Amino acid sequence: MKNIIIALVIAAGFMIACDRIEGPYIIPSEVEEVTVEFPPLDPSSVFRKLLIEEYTGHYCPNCPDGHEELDRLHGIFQDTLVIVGIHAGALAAPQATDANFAYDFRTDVGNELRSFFNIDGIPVAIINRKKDIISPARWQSKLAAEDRTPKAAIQLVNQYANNTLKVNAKVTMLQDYSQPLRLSFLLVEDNIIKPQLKHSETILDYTHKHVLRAGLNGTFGDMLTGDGILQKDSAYTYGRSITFAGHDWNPDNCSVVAILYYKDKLKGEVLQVEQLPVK
Amino acid sequence: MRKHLSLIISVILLFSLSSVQGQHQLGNSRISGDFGFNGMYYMPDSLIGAEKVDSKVRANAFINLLYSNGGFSAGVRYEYYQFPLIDFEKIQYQGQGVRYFFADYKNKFIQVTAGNFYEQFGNGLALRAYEDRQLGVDNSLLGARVKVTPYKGITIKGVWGIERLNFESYLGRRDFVRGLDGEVSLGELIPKMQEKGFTANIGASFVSKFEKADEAINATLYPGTDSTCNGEIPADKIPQNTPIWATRLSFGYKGFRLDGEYAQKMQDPNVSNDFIYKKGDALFLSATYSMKGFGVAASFIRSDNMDFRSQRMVRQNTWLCINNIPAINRQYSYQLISNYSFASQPNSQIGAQLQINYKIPKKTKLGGKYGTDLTFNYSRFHNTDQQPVALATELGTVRGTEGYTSSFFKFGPDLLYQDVGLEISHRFTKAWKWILAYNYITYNLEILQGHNGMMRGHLVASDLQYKVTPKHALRLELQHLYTKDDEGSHIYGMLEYSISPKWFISVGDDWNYGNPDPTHRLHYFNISGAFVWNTTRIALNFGKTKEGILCIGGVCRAVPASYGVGLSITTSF
Amino acid sequence: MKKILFFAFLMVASVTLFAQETLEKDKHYAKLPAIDIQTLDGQIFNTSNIQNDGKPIIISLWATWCKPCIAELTAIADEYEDWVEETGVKLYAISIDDAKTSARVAPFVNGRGWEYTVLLDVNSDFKRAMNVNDVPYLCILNGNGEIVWQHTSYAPGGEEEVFEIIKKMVGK
Repeated sequence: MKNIIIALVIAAGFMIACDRIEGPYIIPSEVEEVTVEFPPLDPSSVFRKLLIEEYTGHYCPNCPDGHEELDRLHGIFQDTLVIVGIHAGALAAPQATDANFAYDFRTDVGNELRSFFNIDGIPVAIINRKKDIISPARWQSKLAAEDRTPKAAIQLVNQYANNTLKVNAKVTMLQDYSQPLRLSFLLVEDNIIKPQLKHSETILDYTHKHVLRAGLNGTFGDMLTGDGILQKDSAYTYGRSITFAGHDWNPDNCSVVAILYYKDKLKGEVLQVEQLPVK
Repeated sequence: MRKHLSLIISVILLFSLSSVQGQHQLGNSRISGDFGFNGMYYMPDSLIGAEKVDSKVRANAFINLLYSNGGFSAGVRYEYYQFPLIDFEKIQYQGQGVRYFFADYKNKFIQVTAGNFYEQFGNGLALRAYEDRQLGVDNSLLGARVKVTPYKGITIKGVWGIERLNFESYLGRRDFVRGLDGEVSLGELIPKMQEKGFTANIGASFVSKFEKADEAINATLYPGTDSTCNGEIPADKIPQNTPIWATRLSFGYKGFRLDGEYAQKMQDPNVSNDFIYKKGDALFLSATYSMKGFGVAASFIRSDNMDFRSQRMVRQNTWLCINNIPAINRQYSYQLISNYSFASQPNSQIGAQLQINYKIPKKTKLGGKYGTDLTFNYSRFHNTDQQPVALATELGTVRGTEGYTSSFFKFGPDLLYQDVGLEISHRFTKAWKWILAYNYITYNLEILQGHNGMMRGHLVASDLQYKVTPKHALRLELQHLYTKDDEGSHIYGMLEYSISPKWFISVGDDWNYGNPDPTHRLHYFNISGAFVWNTTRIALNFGKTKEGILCIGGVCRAVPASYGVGLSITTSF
Repeated sequence: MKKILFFAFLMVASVTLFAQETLEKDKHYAKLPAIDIQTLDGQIFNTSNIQNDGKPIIISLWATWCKPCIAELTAIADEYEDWVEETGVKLYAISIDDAKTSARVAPFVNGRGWEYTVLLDVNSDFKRAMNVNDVPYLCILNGNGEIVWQHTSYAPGGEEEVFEIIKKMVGK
């Protein structure tokens, strides 16, 4: 009998282990008003930039090869190539058996992107949010094969004060576009000095570049307009904020990557991508 | 080179140790262990898609040591996967160190375990912490477990732990699992029942996962939907505690046995169900009847929204899975259909399986001197029926809604897998033995592997064995998979010569002669030899492995194409 | 540093094991670990209850999806009647099938007419405690319940050696 009572007490204790959430579960996100002035746009000077999202990890021995390849590609494509380094998965996590790798590079946004694109082994990359998972040897040829016809322009103005960053964006369509478009703001940081495994060596003061830190409007960004369909020459302004308080991000090394894209189950396309330092 | 040297030396060292055969006992204490090494020298082969591997020699190795003394036992495992085989690199099973250790005390009344442990409640619908070294699955929990038997026939288990993820640190983890399970064996409580040949067990479990939620989830985008709503799920609307409960019953009388378990999962928005708030549930039923020479087993499973993991942003592989929804189809070991093994779909599957075993008795016309074994099998799985809720239709996204409604026993529109098969096994004389099998398989490539379409294929497999002398034997396996889908038809042959109990040697070839792309009509040959000495097994093989999937018990992982020489050593001491 | 640790670990392991070897000369064979597994009708069965009135015991770890395991048990089944008659041996076939397939073990065994005592190790607890890496695994216990012989893998004809050992054990 006593045992049964004990069992019941334990069972009651477990009942606390339930959360019941009442709907509605979604609240509308707060899009901020844009107060800044954007300079006039010359459509003929717009380049269609390329986005490469690299999946990497500090405990991944081959990932520095990927970093070197990105450095080389950056030399070739210059600032028409925007790089986001996504640290996600078990090899980006703090390591149980090696105290040098105690830092946690992972972010919710990175974790969700990794799940969404079904990434397993690293280093690999997704180019312009297409379905293919590409290993470093094919990055250059895949990038070179991308369509470079400008379809839209993004202008960015960043305001940083009191530990808070406000991003102001203006999207100008250079063509009609019939698919729903999303605009996503990612925060990336350069020159983070932390250990990295390189083959069998541990490099304690490795320079991590273009590390994904956060999403200003979640993992996938927001729908650009109500119905998402945009006409040529139409322009849209858009604002979002994020606070640096409570994070170890250095605003001097951070920049915002704005991605204008379309994605469905099979296809995906990045129309334009822009990058601008926070300060 | 240094790292390879250290690997090689460690292998030699460990191997020399393991030649110390027999377990070791002094008084009541006993030390035992086992060791495994799996290494490969990789060569690039652009045709099969075997990529150049940066360090050509890779290896997985581990050693287990167990100590026991009366009711006390303790164990530790050291794993060396710093430069793992490329399959393991793919699933990020990479690192080295002690990731498994435990101390355990048990007497007639109580068992207490501290450290890492594996556990299963019932059929595993609510909790299954397990390992499969070949797949690279290790979902052990780090924490504590208490098991009490207050009265003969009653067992109560309580667990608390953090789930292991490869070599990730437990420090800073924001999630844990706790569970409680009770089982009553009525047969043992009521001796009269047992005397009459009845057995009956009832059980119930409760498992809850905690994961901190402090960041909002962007709610709007789901690919392929025209969501017009810009919204988010704020952190306080994400459940931090997700419980799952299950109840089960089993009943047996003579050759008849019935098992059933029903589980329900409460609100668990996560990346695999696209952040819906619908409850998940699963039902597993199995009925078997057998008598000498005849057995029939029928089972049914329905599982909807039951992917249950320690972290809501993870959906790949078997990372951080808390429960395990069984894939109840028949498991095959035929080379040519290993790529088309059904993987359990915890979020959406409904299906049934029937298997009949019959032995045509010895010394009859059809049975011959030794009898003939027949196995018939049928299984069919669909996705579950899902109708989006009104709010999801209105918003254009299921995110942050109740998702969909589903009528319980209705089969969904997509066929996932179907298998009809017959296997005949007959021994003609002391020397000759033959197994012949036919299967017709329908496999949904799109849902199960992300390619396009369905694979429909006929498989004929033959396994002929001839004993040259009582200890020397030849075995010839021939298989033909005929299909117009996916990569087309294959033919496979393998000849094995064995000298019992120590030596094995085999050559085999898998020819993808029907590949729609003529340049990919390739041969995947394999030559292997093995030496077995008591519990030590050393195997060498050389050949090509096709890119595909490896499934063990309905759990699958990707296997990259490879070409090279492999060495595998396992032993226990 | 990692390598040094690894080697240190190996040294410790080797010292422990070689020390054990000298002890082993006293012929203290190990007994089976006492682990809770299940009978075919779902009752808990502790492996310390594996016994055969002082006669030899064979324990085979197998699974319904493991071809060589089935080949081995089928080969033994053909001779089993004679074995029992001559030596009084008893075979415990412990299946490591998990929830997916464990319900099919009974029909499978009966369907094939095997006369063994079949037990279920659904979460591989016994397999782990026995330090078994792969199935098929077979061991022979003497009349005192001590493990005197172990083997992994199966090659046709392997059953002959098993029978030789058992015959020797009962002095035939």
